[in-house]
Amino acid sequence: MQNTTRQIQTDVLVIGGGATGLGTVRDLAMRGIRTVLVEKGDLTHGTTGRYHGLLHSGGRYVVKDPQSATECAEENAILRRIMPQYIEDTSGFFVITPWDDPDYGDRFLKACHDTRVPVQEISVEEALRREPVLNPKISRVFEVPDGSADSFMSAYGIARSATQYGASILNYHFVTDLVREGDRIVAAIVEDLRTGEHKRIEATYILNTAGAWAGKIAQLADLRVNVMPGKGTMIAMNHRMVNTVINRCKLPADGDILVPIHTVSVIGTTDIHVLDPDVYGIEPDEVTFLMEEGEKMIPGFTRYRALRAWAGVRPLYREESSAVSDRDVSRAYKLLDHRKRDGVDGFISIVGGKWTTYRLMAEEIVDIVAARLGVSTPCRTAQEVIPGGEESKLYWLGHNLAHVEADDSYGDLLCECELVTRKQVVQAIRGGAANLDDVRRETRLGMGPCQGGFCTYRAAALWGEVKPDAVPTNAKNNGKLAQDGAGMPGTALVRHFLQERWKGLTSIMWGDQLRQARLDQLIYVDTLGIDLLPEHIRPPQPENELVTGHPAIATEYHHD
Amino acid sequence: MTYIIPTDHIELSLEQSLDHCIKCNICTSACPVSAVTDKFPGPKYVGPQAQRFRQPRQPTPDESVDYCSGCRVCNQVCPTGVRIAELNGRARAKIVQQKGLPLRNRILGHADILGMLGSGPLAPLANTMLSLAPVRYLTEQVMGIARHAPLPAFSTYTFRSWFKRRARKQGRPSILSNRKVVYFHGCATNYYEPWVGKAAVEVLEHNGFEVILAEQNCCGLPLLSNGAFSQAHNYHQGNLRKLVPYVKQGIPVVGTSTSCTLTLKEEAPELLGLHDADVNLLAEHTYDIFEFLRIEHAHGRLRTDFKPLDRTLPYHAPVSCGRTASGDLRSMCWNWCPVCT
Amino acid sequence: MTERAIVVGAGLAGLMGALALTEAGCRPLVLAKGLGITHWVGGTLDVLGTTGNQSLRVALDDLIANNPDHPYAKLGISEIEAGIARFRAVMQQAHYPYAGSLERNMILPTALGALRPTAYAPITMVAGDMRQGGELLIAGFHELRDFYPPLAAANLREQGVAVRNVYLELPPSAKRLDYSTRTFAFFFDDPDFRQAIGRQLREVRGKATRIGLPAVLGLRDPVEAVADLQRLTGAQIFEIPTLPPSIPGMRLMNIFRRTIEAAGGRVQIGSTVHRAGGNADRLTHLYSEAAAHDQEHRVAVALLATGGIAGGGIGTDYTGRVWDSALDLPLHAPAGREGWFASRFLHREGHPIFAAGVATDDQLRPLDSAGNLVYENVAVAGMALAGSDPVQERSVTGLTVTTGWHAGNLLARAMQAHLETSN
Ligand SMILES: Cc1cc2nc3c(=O)[nH]c(=O)nc-3n(C[C@H](O)[C@H](O)[C@H](O)COP(=O)(O)OP(=O)(O)OC[C@H]3O[C@@H](n4cnc5c(N)ncnc54)[C@H](O)[C@@H]3O)c2cc1C
Ligand code: SF4
Ligand code: SF4
Repeated sequence: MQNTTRQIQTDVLVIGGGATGLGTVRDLAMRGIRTVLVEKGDLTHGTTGRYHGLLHSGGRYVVKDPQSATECAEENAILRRIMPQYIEDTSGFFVITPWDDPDYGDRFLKACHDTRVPVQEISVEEALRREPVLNPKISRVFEVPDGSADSFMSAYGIARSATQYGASILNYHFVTDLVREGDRIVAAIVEDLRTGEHKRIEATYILNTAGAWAGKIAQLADLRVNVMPGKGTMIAMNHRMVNTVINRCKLPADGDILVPIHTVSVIGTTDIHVLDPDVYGIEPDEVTFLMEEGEKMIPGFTRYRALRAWAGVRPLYREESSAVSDRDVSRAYKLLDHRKRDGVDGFISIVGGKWTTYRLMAEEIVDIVAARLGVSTPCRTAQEVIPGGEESKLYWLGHNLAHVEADDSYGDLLCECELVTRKQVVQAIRGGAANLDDVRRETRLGMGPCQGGFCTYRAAALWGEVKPDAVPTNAKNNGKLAQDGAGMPGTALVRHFLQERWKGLTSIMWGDQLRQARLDQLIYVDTLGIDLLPEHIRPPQPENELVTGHPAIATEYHHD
Repeated sequence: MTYIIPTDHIELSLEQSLDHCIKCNICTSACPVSAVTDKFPGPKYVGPQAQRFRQPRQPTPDESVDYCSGCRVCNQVCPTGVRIAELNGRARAKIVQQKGLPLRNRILGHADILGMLGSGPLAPLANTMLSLAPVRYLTEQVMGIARHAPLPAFSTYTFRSWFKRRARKQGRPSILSNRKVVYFHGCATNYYEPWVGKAAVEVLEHNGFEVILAEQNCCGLPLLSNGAFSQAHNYHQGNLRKLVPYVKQGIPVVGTSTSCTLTLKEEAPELLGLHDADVNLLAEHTYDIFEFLRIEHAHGRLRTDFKPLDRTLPYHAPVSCGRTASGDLRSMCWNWCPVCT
Repeated sequence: MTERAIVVGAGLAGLMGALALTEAGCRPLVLAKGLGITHWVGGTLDVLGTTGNQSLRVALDDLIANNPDHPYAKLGISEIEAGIARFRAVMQQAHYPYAGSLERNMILPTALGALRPTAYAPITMVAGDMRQGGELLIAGFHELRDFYPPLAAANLREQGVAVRNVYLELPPSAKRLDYSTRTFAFFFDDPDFRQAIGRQLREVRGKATRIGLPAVLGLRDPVEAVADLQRLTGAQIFEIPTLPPSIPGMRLMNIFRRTIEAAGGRVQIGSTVHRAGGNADRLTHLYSEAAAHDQEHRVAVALLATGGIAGGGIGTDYTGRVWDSALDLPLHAPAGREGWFASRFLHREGHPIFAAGVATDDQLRPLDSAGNLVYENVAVAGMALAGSDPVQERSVTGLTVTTGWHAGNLLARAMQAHLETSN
């Protein structure tokens, strides 16, 4: 290992910049505890940035996992209060289609009452009136308070609030080792992926909120945490074919939920056990399966335009290896106090759970740490609103369009599909984005139908004008100079972002989306000649120039 | 692996047609309205793009779509088949429903009322209101439509009054025929260009048809364009009541205003979501006059012994032609007309 | 109803085909769902871009010799030249001449600062040829979100070009809420606007002998606009194509349309051909979509120029099915979606699916998978053809123009022969 050049001291180090880690670091800071969070990629780089978008009502779990159902129902109500700006009140239907067991309806209804998940049966006519494209052959419909939630925006909001309370949040910081002294974990060794520098972060407590990676983190301390990464694939369809979350009313299975979120409807998911949370791809038969399940909820589904597919890995916890399938592992979370469990102090893991329960998970782990640190300040995250949500206004689909219309800023749209203005892009660049994919997470740039066809060129060009001296180029290889070749200002940004988009496209590209890709190719290859710029003529090399090329964080779709 | 292969080729519904948009800007480069006012961000923006942000159960987030004239140039040039103009029409209808109709649209929307106000002594005044010169100039640039083709100018008599006078004078038409058509003249012919109707009657009668002047309403297109859907709905219902009985006797409806016939056939049913048997019946049996004559010609029934005309014909309702089976009017005539070629 | 020559598609292939038919007196009817490729590409005539330092003619000879399925091989060099010559003559007549040669590609800068090879370019662009020396100035407008002088200049500098960049001020009268390339083209149609811009350019010109501007220098008379700006600045002016809608492409569309219609052909945009009928080996009917009923066309000869995947002529779905959306001709395409793409968007070989198209005999008539002729009175041109991926070869416009012209001529002959035998 390289020499560490810098030491940082803190009370609590949180590992993982997903919903759970961010919720935890904010809770800690709100209780006045000194804290640092490290995340190997950009915030939400893990499962949080690749989830389905559903703010669970709990309905999905009422029969199979009652405890989770109740937790979801309670947290659903709390999150609507403390972070309304990230949540859309779509409501949700559980529908019995001709493919589902009609008797499940009564079981479902009873279980909702038992688990305190608010539910109301509505008539099929009423459901069809509200969602005209729904399969008219459904036999029963139950309405629950599902919603959809933006995990990117909320992560940035939680992070900003935590920082205001004094927390320090370091993205692109990769934990490479944990330092154990006797029965205690005392420090973590962290590599700053932007500079290649190693840092030693000493803390009284280290919290492992690394989701599907929690097992890998525990291993660094020679501890065993059995996380089974379960890959789930989702497909975003080009527009909101429905405005209500549609769930099949049956025991949870694959491809049975359609979530309207922002401008798209997302169908998901599959659930396939993978060995390593960093190595997985999207298989063609998963896509076919999801499209055809879609037909059962929305007749004609396969003829609608698929926009993009992605996959995330579930952090499912299992005490010891047993032969159950991923779907049968509880969705409830599990707190592992390694002092009690393994006789090792200074280290606590929390695994499992859902985005919907991130706050509760954070509360529970922080309660323990606070008690051990002798801090008696109670948790306030269930009451205190995250800045921006003070007016209790829930997000609505027309939000961005209404803004553009109000200030006539349509001439300033760089990403026309998702209505991202020049100002927003400049802000994200100034705010420390490492590449256009980071800008995307903050603004939705490039997430619409053309998948970066028009905005990539514009945003990359703007980058050079906002930060002329800090345009990422190929010249740097994690601090070391590459052997050959001049840097191509802006071009590395373009190539990287187009490739990021491409990864999510190949598995769903047919029809309109294929035609779109051809137009995008006409623009970048034929008109702009990006392939003619010298760097591309060199033998292809890994994308190590924009931080995201680092092997530690180059997840997703290893499919070559 | 089992595939569910779509068994039909039914296109996605009007709203879903936004899925086809590949953001290529062709529509925006052709729209005559965005060319003259940048208050209108253009068809791509107000159409397929904005539609992804609209939701039936929420307030309309946008207003700029109100500037769309409904001319359908965008539909015609769009390479992917997005129903932009119709999307805009629906979006505007919702604005109207929630916020009321701006006065400008309220007046221009009622072609029949305007017609009644305008023909006769008040005509010159109303005519000035209608000269939308810049739009016409640009339409010409983009679509090649003659700028000097007469704009609607109110006539000093109506077509219906002429037809009735003629009937009183002549009694039953000289040629007796069991082949009949209902003539749908539309507001333009009735109030602005009665000579078009007169010519149509002559041509039809020359070909052995008895022309019936049925009671009829405005087709409702101007109202549809302005988003006044409930009134347009009333108009269409009225037309169904008045015209379907003829269709049921096997008498087709023939019109000279392409945009009117297109409204009866497609626009009104689609925009208003009307798809019952009567609506479809009327749609199927309504023809643009060129389309009608062309079919006659195809069956060898058209009499082509026209006398050459010594005058430039006004080319009305240009843009809607693209959607009718007569196609572009010019290629239409030129298809079979021995006079023009 | 008489039998007629029908061209399906109003891209460069369809328009060139229609032109050939028109000039042979066949009065073709062009049916197209909408506009397309003209509005998407930069408007240069790219014959082949993968020539390296070779002469274009030599590279074409090689390609033809080694690649018998390539559309160019079916034309042969003299037909390629004939198509180019006719294209240039039409543009010349319309006061929008193209310069260049088949000897060496010129090298024009792109809006990204890449150095792009092309055989012929409108004279509004040729001063950008990088084979010439001299200092460059790239100028643009903050308001135009589709062109960024600093980016283009930075990349050019990295490649050793002496270049500066500048943003110009819009005169107050030109302030708008929204700007597209068309907005700017309208601006540049106005001599007063050109005055204002020319004066600014003269001030910032410095040592630059050539000035590059986004390709928005007017729709009405771009050649005059360039001449004006040259007079005002004392430098050579050239246009650099950028994102769609392409102003140079719109000029092409206007010129073609005028030329074809003036000579007796017709161009009908907004008519989707979606069905065909035939017997034995002749196509007899085409049907285009219209309100409530289809429009029927009787066919003497037909040209399929529907632009492949980009043009919408080739449909695909999630099962991996690939079909010709107009005539339902058999297609050459990789089987199964798994084989459609390379893992990298910018893969040097391109993506197999984009080479999908109709296989033809050497008269560009469609063949089925067994190599049998499908229709003897149909020809295929442009991106609808199998046998190449023109984007990857940088031959999009060259291939469409030349195959369109050739196919149009072949069909004209076939039509004349058909009319003689049936009369
Ligand atoms: C397909 C799918 C769909 C889902 N849909 C929903 C849904 O609709 N609703 C819902 O409520 N829940 C959903 N979930 C569950 C939910 O997404 C997760 O439970 C939640 O996002 C987990 O958040 P987290 O912070 O615990 O984990 P993560 O978001 O994965 O965060 C862990 C972080 O740790 C980082 N990390 C890992 N190793 C290191 C290291 N060595 N150094 C530094 N950092 C490291 C990772 O980069 C990652 O960002 C879904 C999950 C999946 C897989
Ligand atoms: S022309 Fe059609 S595909 Fe192109 S931007 Fe407009 S609506 Fe979209
Ligand atoms: S209908 Fe006419 S005015 Fe409206 S967007 Fe289309 S082209 Fe523009």
